Amino acid sequence: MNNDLHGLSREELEAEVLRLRAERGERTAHGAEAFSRRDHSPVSDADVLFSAVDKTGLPMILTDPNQDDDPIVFTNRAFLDLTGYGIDEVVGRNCRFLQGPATEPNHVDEIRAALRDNRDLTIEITNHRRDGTPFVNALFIGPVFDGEGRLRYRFGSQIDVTEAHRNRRRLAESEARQRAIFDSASEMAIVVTDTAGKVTDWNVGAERILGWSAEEMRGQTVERIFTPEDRAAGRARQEMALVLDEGHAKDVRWHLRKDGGRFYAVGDMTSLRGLDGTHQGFVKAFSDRTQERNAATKEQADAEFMRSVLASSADCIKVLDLDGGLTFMSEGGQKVMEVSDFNHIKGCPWPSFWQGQGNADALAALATARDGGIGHFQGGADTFLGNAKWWDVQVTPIFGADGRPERILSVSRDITERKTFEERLAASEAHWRDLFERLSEGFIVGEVVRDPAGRVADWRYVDVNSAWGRLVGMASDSVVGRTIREVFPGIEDAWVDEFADVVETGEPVTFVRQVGTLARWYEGRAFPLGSERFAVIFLEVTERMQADARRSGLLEFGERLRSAIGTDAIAMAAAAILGRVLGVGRVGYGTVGSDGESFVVEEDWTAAGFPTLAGRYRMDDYGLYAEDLRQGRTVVIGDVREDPRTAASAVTLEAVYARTLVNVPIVEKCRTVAVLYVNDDRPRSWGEPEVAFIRQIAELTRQAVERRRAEERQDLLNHELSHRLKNTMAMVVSIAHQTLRSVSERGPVEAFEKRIQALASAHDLLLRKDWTAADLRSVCREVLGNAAEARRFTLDGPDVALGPSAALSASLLLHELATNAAKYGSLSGEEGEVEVRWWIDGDAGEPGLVLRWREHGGPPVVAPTRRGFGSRLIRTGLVGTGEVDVTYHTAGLVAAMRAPLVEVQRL
Amino acid sequence: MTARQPDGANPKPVVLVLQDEPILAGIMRDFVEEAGCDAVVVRTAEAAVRTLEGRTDIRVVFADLDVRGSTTGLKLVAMIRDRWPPIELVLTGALAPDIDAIPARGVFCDKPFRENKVTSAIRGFAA
Repeated sequence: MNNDLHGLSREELEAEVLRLRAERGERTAHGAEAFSRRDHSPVSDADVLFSAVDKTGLPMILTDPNQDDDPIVFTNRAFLDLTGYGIDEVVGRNCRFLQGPATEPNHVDEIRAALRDNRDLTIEITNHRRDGTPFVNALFIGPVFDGEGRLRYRFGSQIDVTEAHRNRRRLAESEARQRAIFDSASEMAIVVTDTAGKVTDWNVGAERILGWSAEEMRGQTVERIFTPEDRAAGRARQEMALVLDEGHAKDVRWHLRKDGGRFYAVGDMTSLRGLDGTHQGFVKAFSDRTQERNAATKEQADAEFMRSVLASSADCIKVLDLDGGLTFMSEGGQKVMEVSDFNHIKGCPWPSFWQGQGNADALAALATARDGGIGHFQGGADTFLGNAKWWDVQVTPIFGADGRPERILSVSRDITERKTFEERLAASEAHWRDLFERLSEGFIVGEVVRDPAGRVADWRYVDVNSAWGRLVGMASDSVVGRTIREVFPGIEDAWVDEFADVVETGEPVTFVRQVGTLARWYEGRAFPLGSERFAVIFLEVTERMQADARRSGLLEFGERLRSAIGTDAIAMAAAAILGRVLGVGRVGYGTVGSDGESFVVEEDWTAAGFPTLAGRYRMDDYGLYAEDLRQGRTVVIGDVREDPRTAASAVTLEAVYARTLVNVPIVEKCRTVAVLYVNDDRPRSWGEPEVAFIRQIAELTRQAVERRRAEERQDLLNHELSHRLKNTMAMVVSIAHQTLRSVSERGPVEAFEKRIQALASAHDLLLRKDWTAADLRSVCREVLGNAAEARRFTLDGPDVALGPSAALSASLLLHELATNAAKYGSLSGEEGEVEVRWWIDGDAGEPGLVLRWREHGGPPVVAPTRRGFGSRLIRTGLVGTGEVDVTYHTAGLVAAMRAPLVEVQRL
Repeated sequence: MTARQPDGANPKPVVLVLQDEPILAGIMRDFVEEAGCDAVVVRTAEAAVRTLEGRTDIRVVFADLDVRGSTTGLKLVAMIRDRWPPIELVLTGALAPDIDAIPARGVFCDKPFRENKVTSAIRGFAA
């Protein structure tokens, strides 16, 4: 047995194992004899095996299948080096620890099968090192039997063939690729020859183009495809020599086809190098450009035809050389460019025709075309007569037979008119925009904004003009793109809803509305523009609205004054109206004491949240403007913080919500007797119309208060007079009574006293009605009530107001009638009645009051023989003009009287 | 002019007359005496109250409601009725007040006076 095992190759080692096996087999066959004949040392074969495994430079392991899970029982350094494991990590473990994620499952199955069958197996399988890196393992496994043929060990050897694997794969891929190219290039003929020029490979493309198949051409000389002329000239050899010299040669020539026909080939020839870089042959690759070649020829033939076509085009069609020199200009082009003789401009550099930016653009377009692209620009170029024109230019390359640009085609279209049109359009647009800007009305273009449910919730400013800015008080350019709710937070919903309606219904609307946050009113018209847009044209009408409010305020105040209200109520009505019309928080009226100092406010009008200023003050507490008020000058302070008269006391004023104020003094007989004050908690610039309005209301209030006071004084005077009158009458009666006490005939005395009473009663009635009128019914009732119980007289007639004179005379008259009735007539007994009837008649064209006194149920009466004072009184009638008829019927006295209603009611 | 009762006999009932107009005061005094009473005339409401506070023999107050002063007319009589309930009230004035405004049992005599009405009212209360 050769102990020097580590120098063995794998095959040699495997052979050694087989030999060992064979030896074993021999021994078995020969049994003990063989054993003894061999004369082995006590070192067992196992030891030898182990030693072999241990010392070799090849990775090896031995496993013991008789132990549980077939563990590794022996391994060598080489295996540990290959796998990266330590000896302790390996011995005792089954070698499946070499498997990992990259391990091929089907290869594992093969190994398992071989183990089961106790076969030898060589297989390449991906294993993993200790650090996880994979490697391709060329694995050999084989069973090791003992003398009795029992399975003693398993043997495994590993070789890392990762690199070889990789290279092999790469090569295979490359080869596959090459073959694919070679095979699929049907457009291209690829011919491979050996160094002598004999064809070794011939692709599909070559077959298609040349006609011969690969079989027909392999082994043939490549010269077969050269034309007789080229063959005679030895072209093939020249080409090959060129390739050897320079590495490659252009292959552009006519070649021969199998059928004898020719084709124009464009391609080249290179040297075929082996893997080691040595020249091994030639590769010719070319494509059939016969058609193009023919076309090019045909093209030139068509040039004349083309020229005539070009001549009819109005575009300026030019052909330039690669440097931009003019070689051809179409007839139509010459016409538009107003060229009389092309020879004058032939060869001129075309970019020089262009001015300014056009020149640079032309050069750039030219460069693009030279590179095979298409250049395009617009520029200005004068015609040769000096007329300025504007052109749209396309610059394209004209390819030569080799596929590279050989000339430049430039087509220029006259767009002067269009450009002018565009300029006019721009000017027109500018004109309209100018108008838009010049409008004194505000103009808005808006676009509605819908919420997820599709309802219009807002709208966006698309465009506004300068007037808009002025009317709203904001910079116009600050709102475009924003929505109205963003620009005016808290704006009234109507500003969105109404324009939404315009868009949805397509109907224009006219509106007058306020933007509360700005305290400005706008009147305008909104109309749809289609597709979610609308336009609004509007004016500010704040002034007008305020003027209207003031006017209606004045009217209302007038109305309130017409009803007879007290002076306090007059002042409060004025304050409330001012407060509402001006939109302020507090309006009040205070009286200035005769000392010019004290200021008393009984009550004032306040808006919600404003404190009242009712109370007593000193004028000078108001600061420096008290003197203005005393002098009768109106004080207008827009902002108490700013005005020098109040700046120092601004804090105290603002504490009572007086940030702005207007004070109007009321002057009587050159003295300020009262002040009307208007306060609000926001600064305000008071316009002249507003201050005028306040003054107007203050003046009307003063007049109304004066009038009321006069009326009250009048009332007082009236009452005073009445009292005195009645006292005087009482005195008259008493004096008469006392004076006539000693007169024995009492009748006249009593008559006198009663008549005075009647007069006094009449005065009473008049007094109750403020000396304006007494109602006839009341007069009757009063007088007759003194004469008899109510049941004994009937009163019947419409309501008639009697003037003072008529009231007095009617009273006395009725008194006389009643006295007589009580003495002699129907009121003299227990029974008997008086019926008093009156009505209005229209006799003789003017209405008159008719009154009829009828007595009945009493004793019969006769006309008196003498006419006493009473009778005379009766005969004077209702207004002293007579018209009385007294008839003494047997049933009772009847007195009828008439007076014109006008006289009866005269004040 | 006025008949006076001889002294020593039953003292006459005393009537307080409130009237600031002199002639009317005289007339009213006559009525009081005609009714068989003695008259005490005061010109102001304050004086009336002072008098009522000072003596207890006033039976009737005959007052003109138009007398000016801090406490006028009906307010005064209401106060008198309140403080001295037994005192009867005979009232006069330029304008007859509302029935409801006159204290209970009070009598209003209009001007010019009807002598009978006034004296019978006083006599009635004084009795």
